[in-house]
Order: sequence, then structure tokens, then C-alpha cells
Amino acid sequence: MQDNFEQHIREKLLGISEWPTEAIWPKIEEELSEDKMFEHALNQKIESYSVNISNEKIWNNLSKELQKKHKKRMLIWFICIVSGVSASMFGLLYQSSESSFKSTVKPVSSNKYSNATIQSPTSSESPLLKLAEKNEPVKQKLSIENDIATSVLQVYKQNKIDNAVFTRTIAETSAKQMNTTETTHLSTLVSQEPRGVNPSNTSNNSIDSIGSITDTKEKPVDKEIHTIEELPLTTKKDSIGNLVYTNGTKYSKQTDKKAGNWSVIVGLGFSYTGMQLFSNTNDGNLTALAVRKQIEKPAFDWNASILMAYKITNKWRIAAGLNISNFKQQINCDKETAKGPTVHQQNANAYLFVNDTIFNGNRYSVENKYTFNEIPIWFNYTIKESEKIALDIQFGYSLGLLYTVNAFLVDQSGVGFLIANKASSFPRLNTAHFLNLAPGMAFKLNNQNELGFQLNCKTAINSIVSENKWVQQRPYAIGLELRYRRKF
Amino acid sequence: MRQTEQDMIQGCIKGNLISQKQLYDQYAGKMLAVCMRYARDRAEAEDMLQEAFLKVFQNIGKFKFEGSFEGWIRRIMVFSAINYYKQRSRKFKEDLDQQHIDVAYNEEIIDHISAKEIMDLVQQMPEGYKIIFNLFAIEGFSHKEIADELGIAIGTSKSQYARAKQYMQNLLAKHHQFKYKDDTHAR
Repeated sequence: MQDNFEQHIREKLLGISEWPTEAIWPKIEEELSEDKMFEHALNQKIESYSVNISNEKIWNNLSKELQKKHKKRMLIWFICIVSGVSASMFGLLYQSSESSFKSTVKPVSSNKYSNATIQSPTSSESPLLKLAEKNEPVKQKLSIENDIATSVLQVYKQNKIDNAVFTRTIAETSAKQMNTTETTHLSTLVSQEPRGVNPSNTSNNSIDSIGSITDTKEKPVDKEIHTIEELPLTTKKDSIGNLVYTNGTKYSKQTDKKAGNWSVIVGLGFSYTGMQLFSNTNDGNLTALAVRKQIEKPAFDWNASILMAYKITNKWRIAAGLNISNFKQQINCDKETAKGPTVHQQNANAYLFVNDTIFNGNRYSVENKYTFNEIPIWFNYTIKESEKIALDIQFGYSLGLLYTVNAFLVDQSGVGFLIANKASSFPRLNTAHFLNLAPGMAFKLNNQNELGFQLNCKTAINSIVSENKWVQQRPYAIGLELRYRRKF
Repeated sequence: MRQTEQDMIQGCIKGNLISQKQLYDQYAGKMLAVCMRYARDRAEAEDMLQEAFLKVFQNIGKFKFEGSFEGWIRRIMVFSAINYYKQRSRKFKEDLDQQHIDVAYNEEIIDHISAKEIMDLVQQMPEGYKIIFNLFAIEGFSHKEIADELGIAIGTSKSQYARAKQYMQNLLAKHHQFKYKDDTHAR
């Protein structure tokens, strides 16, 4: 049966003939008809033919192009990092402002404390209620911020109800649900007299004003954080008066200290630094200017700062201190021995090589480096602030004292380098006056500490070369700085 | 110390300038010869070479270590030259110059002519002949591939190559004749 089937199939298939596509024969025909002898002979002749490249011009241009691409890539990475950090900070800011809006304590609807409700995430998950609801001996840590305590206290004060009665009532209600008779310690969850709130001021407040109390937080207030670390069974007082539970858990009250007006800011960053080159005289230094513009390229370098800041108002701060900023330029050049004078050495740290004509190329690579000790006066304006994040802008002036120099400056005529290895050995380089602008963001770690970043933009308003006949140069920088701020 | 080819390629992938320079030193001469066959003069060939090497360094990560690396670079050079040709000429121009074959070409002629001389003769060819002759006779492209690359009909590629080949054989024959006439005179 099976044999018949296979035979049948075979017979069917053997009869089939399929024509190849028309493109195949022309190819075969082409191969057959073409006389390839000529091509083969020609190929053999020139296969390994190589041209002697006598000069380095092509490689110089090529490496310059490659470096350009590399720098462009680095710049793109830099922009991506800055944008990424900015975007995530903005995201956090947005989220934070959303959550702070949601957590605003709404005005209560009734003047009877028994009906009063504080509608916020913290109130709906009030530690008292939570303790009552979760009658299980698991370790949990609950915090009530002073705002809530203040609000609750004001509710009962407005209603002229005895504090003890109020707290006991809440505590007893909770305790019933918890099936425990230990209640007195819970009453301590509500502050008897919260700091930073003057009872005389609040006594005349209407209940409806409670919401605005939590919104208005301009004045720095010490925050009390009340913590229960385990469900209580029995209590005893320790040596400093804190209530301690016998099962090893502890109720504690911590004060998050209010931030004062003074703060210290420490920053560390990196910048893309360059020199704006120009001529004042247009007389004799144009060759040097043209060559320097071709061979000097901006490069990355680091900067650091330590500043003391004083808070003038809620929005404004003023800061002063010390800033170290480095400016680096990459120099790529070729040299050609010119028939000029021989090397002329001025002193150990500044000398002229006047026997080389300098031109654009990549054969020699050196770096120019200038370090300034800056004394800045900065103003900081807080654009937007939430509980977690602040968006600000800093601007100001700084006096840049030239500290170290290691510069290769093309001589006036384009023949030779003036090499300055020390600031004092080349008196033509002098102090810079910088203008600074730095939008930034700060992430509040707590009441006292902030971590953030700023985009530094800096330019000198004067040339650091005092000799008018020389090529003039103004340092500039754009970069990212991470900063830490601690308030006192 | 010279690196192996694989180390050199790996170095180039990482953007190491020394490896890039070594690779350039190793292949620049041969590749310039490739570019010169397509270019009008040496300056143009050097521009082609620079552009093509830039492509080599930018795309070296795509090399799979399969087949000849020199062949890979060479292909980039050729395609770079084709692009250069396209940019310069915009549209392929068919060369219809019919040279009268006044000197007979035979297969022995080529044995007496050096690679340098052949290169010079290739450079003397009209633009339209030169590119098709290079692609078909030397690079081994098919007429279909040439037609696709240059945006012309397969028939045009075939006819143009036939003329180009005839032209080249004529040049070789003439060159051989003059060369040996000069040698005879010299003797």
C-alpha cells in the first residue's frame, strides 16, 4: 500500500519541469562570452600596486576629523547627562509638588471634635487608628509630624475642650479596638504644646483656618517626630524621661532642628573651558591670532568651590567664599623650522622658541592650562520650592586671581612659542573679572542638608593679557557642578 | 612594537589613535592606488582616501572578522569613490568616443607594461569609461551591480564597458608601441 503511494508520488513529481528565471542564462552567457583573459592579466598586474604616500597631510587631516567626531560625541554625552539629570529632577519636583498638594490638610467641616476629620493621607492612616486597626505584635514605625499634632490640637482648642479629655478620648477609642487597657501612653502622641505655635495666636483661629496653617510654612519651625517602634504592652520611664516599653520597643520624640539663615555650600564639577581670542590693535598680531584660533581648542577641566551663604529673605541668598577654576585648551600643531633667531630664554619659567613656524596640524599636542583662585560674590534666587526640591538660579561676580599657568602662546609673528610655566614669570597675564550664571536644582535630604547640581556658565569680562599688542584672551567655561549645602 | 591585525582592529574599535595610525600606515598606500584609479588626479584621490578612511574608522565596529579585512576596506574605498563620482558628475555620462584601433592589441603587450604605467593609463580614460572599467574589470562587479550603483541600465553598463575595454586595449597597445620605439631609438 505504502509502496504504491510512494511510486505514485514519484511518478507525479518526475514529470514536473520548471524553467529557471530568465536572469540566469544571460549571466551564464556573459561568463562564457566574455574574454576574461584581459581582465585577469590586468588584475594580476595592479593587484598589489601601492602608491607611496610621502607626506603626513592626509593623516593629519584624518586624525583632526576623528578628534572632532570624538569631541562631538563627548559633547553629546555631556548634554545627554545634563538633560537626563534635569529631566529627572523636574520629574521629582513635579511629583513632590503634586504630593504636597494632596497632603494639604483640608478645613474640617464641623466644629464638633467628635465629628472632626483631618483629611490627609497621614490622617487617614493616623497612627492612632492604625494602631487600633492593626492589633498585631509586629514591629512598625509610625511618625506623626508636628503639623498634624498642631492641627488636631487646634481643633480641640477652638472648641474649648480640655486637652486631656480630648487625647484620652482618642486614645481610649483606639485602645478599645486594640483590646488593651494601656492607654495613657498613647495620649502622648498628641503634643501638649507644640513648639513654634503660639497658643495665643491659634486660640482665635476658626476651624476653617486649619488648612491654611499647614500651607503656611514660611517661618522655620522645629519639627517633632513621634515614633512608636512596636505595639506597647507595658511602659516604664527611662533615665531621660522617655517612655520605654518592656518588650524592648520604645516611644521616642525627636526634634528635627529648624534651619537657620547661614549655610555652607561645597561644590565640585567639570567644565568645557576655552579662551575667546581677539586683537585690540590689528597691528602685527593677526598672524598669531589666526594661528592660535586654528590650533587652540577648548577642553574639559575641573572646578571646585566652598562658599558661606546667608539667607536674606525666603527667596534670596547671598554667598561668598573661594572658587578654584581651571581652564584648559588643547593645542594641536605642526612646526616647521624657520630661518629665524635661535632660542631666546627669558628665565627659567618663560622662554621663547623663535625658530619654529607654527601652523595648524596634529603632530604635536600640548595643553594650555590656567588656574584661577576666584573670590566670588553670588546671589541666589529660589524660583520654585517644594518640600523636597528647590529650583534656583545663581548669578554674580568673581575676582579671578591667576594662580598657575602652563601656556604655549604663539609669538606675535607666528614664529615660535612663548612658553610660560609660572604666573609670576610672565607678567603680561593678569587678573580676570568673571561674570557667572548658574541655574540649578537642589534635592532636600532633610531640614538641614541639600544635594544638588548647577549648570555653570562663566565668562571673563576683561582680557587676561595686559599687553595691548599681544593677542587678547578672555577665558570662558560652561559646565556642570554638583553641590552640597548644609544649613546652620 | 607592531600590533597584530586583530589587535589593531580592536584598538580602532576602541578609538585608539595609535591603532588608527598603524592601520592607516598599513593600508594607505594600497588604498590610495584604488582611489587614484577613480580620481581625476592625485589631489582628488587623496580627498577620496581621507573620506573613505573616516568611514572605515567610523564603521570598523561592523567588521565581523569574517573574510579579508583588506577586502572590507577596499570595498569601502570603492563605494566611497562611487559616491564621489556621483556627487561630482550628478548623472552618469555615457562616453561615446570611438577610438580607431590603429595599433593591434595582443595579450603579450600587458606583460611588458608595469603596474604604474597601467595606473597612469587608467587615469587617462574618459570619466564614463574609467568608472565602469574599474568596477567591472578590476573590482569584479557584475553589470547588474554596476547598473544599480550608478543608476543606469544593464545594457548601458555592458556597452560602455565594451567601449572602455577597447579604449584601454588601444591605449596599452599605443603605449607599448611608443615605449619600444623609444627604446629602439635609445639603442
